[in-house]
Amino acid sequence: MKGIRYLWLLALAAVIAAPLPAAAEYPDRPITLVIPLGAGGSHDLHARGITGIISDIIGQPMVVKLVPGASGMKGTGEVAKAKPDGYTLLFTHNAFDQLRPQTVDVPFDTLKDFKTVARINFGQPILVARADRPYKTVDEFIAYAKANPGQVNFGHSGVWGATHIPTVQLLKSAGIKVNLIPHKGGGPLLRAILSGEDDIGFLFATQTRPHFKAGKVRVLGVAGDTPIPNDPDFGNVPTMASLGHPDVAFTMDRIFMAPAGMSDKDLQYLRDSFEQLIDNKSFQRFISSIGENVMFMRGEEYDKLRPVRYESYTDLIESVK
Amino acid sequence: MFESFVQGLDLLLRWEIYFYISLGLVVGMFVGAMPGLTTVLAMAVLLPISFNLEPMLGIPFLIGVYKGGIYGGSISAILVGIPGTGASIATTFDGPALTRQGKARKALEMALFSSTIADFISDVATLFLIALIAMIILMIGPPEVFAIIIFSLILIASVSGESGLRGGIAALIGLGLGFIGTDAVTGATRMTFGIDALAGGIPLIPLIIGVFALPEILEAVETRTKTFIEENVDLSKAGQRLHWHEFKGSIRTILRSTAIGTGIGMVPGVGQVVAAFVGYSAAKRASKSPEKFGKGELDGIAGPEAANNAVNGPTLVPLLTLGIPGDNVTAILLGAFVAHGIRPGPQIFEEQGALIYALLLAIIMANVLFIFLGYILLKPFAKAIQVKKAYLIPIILALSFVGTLSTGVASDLVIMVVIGICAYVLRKLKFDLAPLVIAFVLAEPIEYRLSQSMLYARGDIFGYLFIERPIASVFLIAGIVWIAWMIFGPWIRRRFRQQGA
Repeated sequence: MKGIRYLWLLALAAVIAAPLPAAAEYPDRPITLVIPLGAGGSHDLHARGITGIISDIIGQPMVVKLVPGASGMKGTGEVAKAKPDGYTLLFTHNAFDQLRPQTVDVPFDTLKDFKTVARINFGQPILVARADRPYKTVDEFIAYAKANPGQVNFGHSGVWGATHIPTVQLLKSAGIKVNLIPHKGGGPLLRAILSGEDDIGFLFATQTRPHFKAGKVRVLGVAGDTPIPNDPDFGNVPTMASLGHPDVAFTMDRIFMAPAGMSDKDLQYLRDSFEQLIDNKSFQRFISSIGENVMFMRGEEYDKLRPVRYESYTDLIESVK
Repeated sequence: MFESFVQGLDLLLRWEIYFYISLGLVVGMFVGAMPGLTTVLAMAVLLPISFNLEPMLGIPFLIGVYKGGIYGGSISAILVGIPGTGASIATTFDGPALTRQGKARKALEMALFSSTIADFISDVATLFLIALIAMIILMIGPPEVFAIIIFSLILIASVSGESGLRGGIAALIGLGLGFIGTDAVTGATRMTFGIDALAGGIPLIPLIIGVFALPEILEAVETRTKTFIEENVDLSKAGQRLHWHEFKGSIRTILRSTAIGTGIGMVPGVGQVVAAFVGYSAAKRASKSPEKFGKGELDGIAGPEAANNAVNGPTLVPLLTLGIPGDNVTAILLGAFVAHGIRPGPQIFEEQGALIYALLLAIIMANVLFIFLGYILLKPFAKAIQVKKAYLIPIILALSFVGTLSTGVASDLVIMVVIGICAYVLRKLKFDLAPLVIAFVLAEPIEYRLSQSMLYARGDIFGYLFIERPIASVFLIAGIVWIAWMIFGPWIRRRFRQQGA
């Protein structure tokens, strides 16, 4: 008897719920957020905090789905193929968005198939060398590398990854030859620098900090034209632009993307929602607890930058061929 | 240092800590027991919960999920021959055989005791030797990892004992499958036959379920047996507990595997899967009755289970002392640390000494808790296997599909089914598929570590491996000596006997 009563309730619920989706405003059901990276990285960590807070703003849960593989192209391709109804979004970074699709065959056209919802912040790669190496500045390093061509082991976190790009930019700008060593991510790269297998490499502030404080590594310069804001340890590190290498400009932008076919109204709604997120107190608390900054940029603004960056990467890829 | 240790002890005197550890252990155990649902996934989903707890509760909670999950993976490995994670593949050699003999509960308890004891010892060793382990980790670079994997493979192959040719072919297939996807060194896509779904390579979970679960299900349907357990086995005995004399016989194996696992835990990136295989191989080699292995030997459970859990202690060291996570699990833990404002790194014991000691002690206590919890919770699992096969098979099949889909990628399901059908055919042709899986798992690290070593070597790879890297050369030479002994050993022994006569 009890079972029958429940069935009746269920049927009633279905009748009430069924007409709702057609009438309701976007979003009326959970949104899937695809991250083309593995568990435990900085994107995963950002997303775990952001999805909890943005859900309160848009009134629907945002569910993280990790789709790593093929250097980010697997997850990116999945969102490109998804229905552009705004229920599948992508949380990625600019190397996957603007560079990587140029180096392999992908079943989408990144500039045409995606639009930016928001840039949350960016990470600036820092040039880090082991403390016992005979160079203390970028200029000294370049002079050393010129005197010993191919002898410096220069580590990076994987081909066309977030620390490989500034590496290639520096090699091109300074005109030096080194022994490039690939690693599977920033962690193994840091281990190789600490153990002395690698001499130098680009790392990010969070992972570098404890070893810098312990005196194991030296920081030589930071990519880009602005120093890292509000950073107690690395705020005074000279920028590559100030040292005469303005082309060493790669920063890892953490960006939320949507399929380009999404309706303008819904996209504007998402962009506004993310702008609200930035003013949210618990979001600000979360970001500072993980040691990051908020460097917000609206999607429309960022979409203007993408084609320019895309072309500069085309030149960079050509230069190493 | 001693002072912060005592302060750490003080932090442990709260019942909530043990509540959250227990909660994590139980959740992890159930997730791990579902084929295809991984511990990593469970931890990633539960990570935000730990953000809202204070560090002394949230982090032990996640560690509970991890430890419970690893053990849960061996439950399905023992009962139905489907490893829940890569770490329990070696447990499928003897586990299902024991289940069919009506010894499911004994096997589950052996797995529980060997896992928790090994984990306990390895965690205690880690607590006291953390500075030494941190030093060793910096000495093990790409060439050493390459040498250790090769040495482990030689050890594993030397005792596998099955038809050498078929094992070799299976291993080659595994290598081939492992090379599909993206070349990690150059970033180029290769061997995908133009299929986009393969661009990221074949994922491990669909492969494991395809290789182990589907053929098992197909064969069960084919044989139309009523229950999973052999017909002549008295079902009332299926719930029999492990006896002391049975456990006593495996103590040596547990200790040996603990040492192996703790050692392999210091090697970044290979971890539990390799440790389990090496632990099994070493147990078989040392056994007085190696012929019983693979046919239902309790020592064949203790070997891999102790080894894969002993890995846990040392994997925490690079996380704590360098801030470098060695795998996905420790990467999620790093996220939890960072979100709580704890910065792992060289000064962590100076800055947060009491907290870190308290956490390490909580990890040790989790093992003790788990012995009791597991002992109570095992009964329903052991009983579950008595369900009629007509019910059990569809449930396992459904769980396998759900597990594979838990990654959320529909193409993984197709990959799983295709691999499953191929695996079924290979099994019919009497191929042993364990070499296929281990070769698949190790294909990528072998290739990657060798490529890195060659870049460091700048052309002279032999000089680099054997002269510049002494630790690598020790393992490579030991491997070569081992092969030589396997080939010429019997001949030399015969010569000596003849001379003596």
